Amino acid sequence: MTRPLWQRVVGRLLAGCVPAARREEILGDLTEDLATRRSARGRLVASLWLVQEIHSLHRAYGRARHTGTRSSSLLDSVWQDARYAVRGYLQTPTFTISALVTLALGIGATSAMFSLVHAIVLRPLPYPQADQLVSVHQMRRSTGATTDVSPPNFMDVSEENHTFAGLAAFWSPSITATDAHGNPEKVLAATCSHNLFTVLGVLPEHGRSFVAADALPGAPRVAMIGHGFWQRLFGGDPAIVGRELLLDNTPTEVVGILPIGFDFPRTGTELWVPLRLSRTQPPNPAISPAEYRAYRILSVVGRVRPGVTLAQARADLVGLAGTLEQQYPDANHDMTAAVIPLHEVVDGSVRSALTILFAAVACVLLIACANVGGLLLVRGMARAREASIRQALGAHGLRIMRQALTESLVLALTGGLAGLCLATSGLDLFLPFAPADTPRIGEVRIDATTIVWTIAIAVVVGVVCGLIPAFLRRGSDLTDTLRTVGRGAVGGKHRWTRDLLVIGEVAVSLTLLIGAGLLIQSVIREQRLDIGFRPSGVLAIDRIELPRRLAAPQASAAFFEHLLAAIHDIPGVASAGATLGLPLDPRAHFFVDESTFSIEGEAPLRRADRPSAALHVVSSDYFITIGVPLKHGRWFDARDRMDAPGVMLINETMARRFWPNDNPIGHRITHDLSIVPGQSVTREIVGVVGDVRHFGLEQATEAQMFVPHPQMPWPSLAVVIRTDVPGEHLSAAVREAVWSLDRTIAVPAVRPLEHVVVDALGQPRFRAWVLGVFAGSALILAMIGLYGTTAYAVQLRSQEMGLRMALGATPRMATWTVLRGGLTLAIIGIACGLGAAAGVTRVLSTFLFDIGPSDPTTFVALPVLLMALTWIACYLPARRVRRIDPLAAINANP
Amino acid sequence: MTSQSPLGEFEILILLAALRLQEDATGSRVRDEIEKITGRRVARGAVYVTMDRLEEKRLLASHRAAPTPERGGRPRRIYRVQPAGVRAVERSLTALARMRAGLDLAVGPL
Repeated sequence: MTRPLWQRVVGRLLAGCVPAARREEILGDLTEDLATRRSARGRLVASLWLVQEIHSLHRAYGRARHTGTRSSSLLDSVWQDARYAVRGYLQTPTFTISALVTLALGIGATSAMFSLVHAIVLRPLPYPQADQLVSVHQMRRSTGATTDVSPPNFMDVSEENHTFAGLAAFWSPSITATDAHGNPEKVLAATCSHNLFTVLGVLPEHGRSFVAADALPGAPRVAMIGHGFWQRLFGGDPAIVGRELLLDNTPTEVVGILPIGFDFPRTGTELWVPLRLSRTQPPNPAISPAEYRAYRILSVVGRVRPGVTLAQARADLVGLAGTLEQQYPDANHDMTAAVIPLHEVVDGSVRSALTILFAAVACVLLIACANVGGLLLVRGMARAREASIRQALGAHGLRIMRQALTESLVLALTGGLAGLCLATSGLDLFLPFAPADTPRIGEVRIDATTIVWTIAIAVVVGVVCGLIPAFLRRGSDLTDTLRTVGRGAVGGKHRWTRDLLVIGEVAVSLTLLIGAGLLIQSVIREQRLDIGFRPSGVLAIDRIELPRRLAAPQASAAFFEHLLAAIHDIPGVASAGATLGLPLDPRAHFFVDESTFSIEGEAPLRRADRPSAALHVVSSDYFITIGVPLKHGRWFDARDRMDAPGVMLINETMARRFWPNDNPIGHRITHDLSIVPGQSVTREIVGVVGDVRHFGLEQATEAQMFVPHPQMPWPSLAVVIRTDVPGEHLSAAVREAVWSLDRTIAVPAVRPLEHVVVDALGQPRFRAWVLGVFAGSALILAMIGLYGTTAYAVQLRSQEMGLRMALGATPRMATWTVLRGGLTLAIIGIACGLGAAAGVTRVLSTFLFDIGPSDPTTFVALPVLLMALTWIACYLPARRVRRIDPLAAINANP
Repeated sequence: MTSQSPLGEFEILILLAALRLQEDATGSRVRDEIEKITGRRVARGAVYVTMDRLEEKRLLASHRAAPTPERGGRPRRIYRVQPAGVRAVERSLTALARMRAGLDLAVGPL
């Protein structure tokens, strides 16, 4: 039914003020009455009457909305409140912008941090029933140190356990794959048990998984490839399944393609080949069958049977480890088993750092809340009279509180939205700086969970910020407020709340500052640390791996000798050397093995009781190239041929430990690890070199032995080059040098050795940087809070100050009165902050390097700095006291 | 404000009018009734807002009656005074009567 025009017009007019629930009935009343009027008084009078009635409705409902005396549906009134709030905020842009910026910073930083924590720690690993997956290790009972598992132990445990649905072993070599154009490329690979994919619960995207037959000796060579590798080398052609690929120059059939994103066990793994284990024959010719059970090279992942707890699985394997220890006391002495949830292994390295950073960002959010709460409190004071009038007109106290809450929620949600935008762009900005070895860093993004979480945080912030002033106002006496608002007294009543907020802000920001200060100093100290070599001007090439046919001792010795000579001939190259692994490379432990040894002339020890030291293989110019000094004796030189008497260099730590009062040169050492299985080699110490922090900056230097490459030829070595030619100019020449010797060898990228050193500092630097940013934000917010409080105090006490000055106080004295208030708060805050920091920095101690958690310099310097900033934050607004005109202030009645 | 708080004059008038109108107590009729009996002009909006408030205080209850053609097919809201409303009116009127008792309100020479 179409309604007459006038009804539609009146309907629209009423929509602006009358609640929807009543609109139809009121329109009905008007229609009925209008008909009566029309028939009695005529159209014109009736129309005038209608206008008057609508006006009356507008007035009544409009007033009801302002005083909150109208009743209506909750949703309706919340919507009204929200619109009212927005109007109010638009009228006070300074307040609104400062509150929104504060909230956006606080909430944005929190949600960015949350997305990191969520992706890295909270989100389950991307495998079905990921909570059943565990990592299995051997563990020294005496020290609790975990190690990898030896193949014979792995095979025994796989067969005899009762709690696992499957156990899979793997290790990560790099394999050279040759593309269609014959260009070799080094690929990060995993040699894995055939059941690895079954254990993880991952199916190939195309083709098939490995089967038991693939792992049998003599089976045709097969491989599975990752999605990225498939796209890059084969343009995503599914027909590649079943075709052959050259891996380490061996034709290998591609049997399956794994789904996108799958790169277990290490970020960047793109190739999987079946692990072929023999129970008696070690895969590495350097290991004798007798040592096989102590050759701990396999990482092991397992899936516990449904319903089996971690404790049960642990008890099962510890029992098996006990049996193995009894059966093979030489290899398994002091060895038990450790079962660790897989996600802890994946995120373990960063979990505690993230927890600390998350706590820090929560502090920033807390300070932001305190600031906005303080701002709302001041705004609330200014509006106390309005609230009182509304209450006097009959608005319910709770109703006014709800209005206040709606206002702060509107603010917090808007701030949260801005924060979300900030977090998105902030993450884009900051993720490239995250250390590449951060686990699952590629999964970090702002997703639905983060958005929901951000909204929840915004709501909590809104409620907290809104309830503080609303709650305080609720207690105030109506008539008292009406009488005294604006005269300074009522402000004083709530000053303590603001004071407490400011004290808390200063305390929290000092705690963060001290934490960040300690971390930053740690990083600086690590950077200044004497690493034992001079990386500047040195280029490094990761391990060049020789194909099998060049792996024989004579061939590989000749290859690297020719290669280093060829590189040395490149114009601009001062010297070139080769080594098993680059110093400070995170994989250094993987490349360089420890060897037990005995010193000639000392009482013989059982093998298990012999001392051990890292055994490096280096070329003669390695030390000169990276700038390690010779302390005693001589370098390796042309005399140290393969058939010459065995020689070695040792580092200073080893010289000090084993010959504390003697010259080690001329002593003879027999080391048990060699390229001929089971055959120990005796060498004469010909020199002592300076200590190098080879295995990490934070690790004290251990004893290290160095053997010349010709006497222990190794088929894969990293190359270092001292040159003044930039890496990008040299890399082509180096590649030519390698390919002139053999066209099938992949040449890794040339990069400055300094980058390797910088990468070693990646995690600590990142932690310090992020915590520094948080501490800085906290500091800025706290200073804004202090500034605001002091400015407010000036405004509040201008009358009093005017009176004081009229009675003879100088402007300087009046300024000091105000300044003193702010400074007192800051001093109390600093005292609390120092106490809190003393407790909190203990948590940081595992991340600190060469500095104590209660470093006195930090605990004095930062509070002094904070005090200075505090003085500025208080002085700037306090200065305004000088501009108060005593007469005007006394007469003013705001 | 609870139902124990004293009623305003306008609230008393509305409750009394609704009591008089019984089944016919719509916002419009209540207003007409007050205007007819007291002879003073009453704003429509004030009546609606006050009746909403009295309903919120549970002194009035209301229900929707079926739409009629003369109302343009729109429903009618019928109000009914609740027992609490009756008691509140009684309390207020008694209070007024007590206050008035013994006073001579005739305007005499000052």
